[in-house]
Amino acid sequence: MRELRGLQLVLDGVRAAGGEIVVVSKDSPAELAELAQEHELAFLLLSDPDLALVDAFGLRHAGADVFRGGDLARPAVLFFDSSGELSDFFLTDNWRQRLRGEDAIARVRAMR
Amino acid sequence: MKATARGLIGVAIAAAVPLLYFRWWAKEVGIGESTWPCWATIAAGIAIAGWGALRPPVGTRRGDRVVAAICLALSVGFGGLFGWYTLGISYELPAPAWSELRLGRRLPGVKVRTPDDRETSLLAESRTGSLKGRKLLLTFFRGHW
Repeated sequence: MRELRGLQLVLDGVRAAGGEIVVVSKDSPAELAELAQEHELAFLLLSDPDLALVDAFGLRHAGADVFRGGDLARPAVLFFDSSGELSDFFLTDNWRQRLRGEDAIARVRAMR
Repeated sequence: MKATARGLIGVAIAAAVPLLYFRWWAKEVGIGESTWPCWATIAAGIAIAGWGALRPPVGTRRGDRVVAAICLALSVGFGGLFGWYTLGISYELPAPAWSELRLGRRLPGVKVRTPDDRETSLLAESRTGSLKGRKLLLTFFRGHW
């Protein structure tokens, strides 16, 4: 949850740079609605239970969902410019390393 | 305090950590994140159980000493279980499918659903929806990770 709260904290900065935040999850729409309400998340959440969108980016992490079983997305942050082209991405080899908020805003600002 | 009471308190504390870790900590804080309070609590539980088993009050019966020793062993066992899970877990991640993650690729039209159960796609949202004309930071929520 800390990751989502962190995104909420940088949302204003991302929007000021002309961007929007979208978070994709394997949770159901109802679970996402509850999550957004509980944590007061103002960005767009999208439900991808079959990981079809995750597969479209080649980011499936097999066997990673140790609590519910199955797969998860590999940690990644993708940046698309205003024309919808992938312009930048952040990938880590260690899931404990995350993109810092100010870096995320700077990358959004740097895109056209 | 009796040796058995010390042992039972110690094992209860040590057992509570893995239980709470799975039920709450891993989901709210994150797996493997800032686990030192968990370790400190387990150490306290083991110390209390050890106090009962290794320094029992004078006159403690043999049966109570055995119970205290079992509690100490269980406390250490719960500590081991916690360590096995948090330290043994792999932090390594698989490589992405680079063919799908090339710069310049377009937003896909893969169907997803919004929290109000509306079907949409990133492509549709970028053309006519809330993302039209906006840059996009897209990330993936791994739940408690």
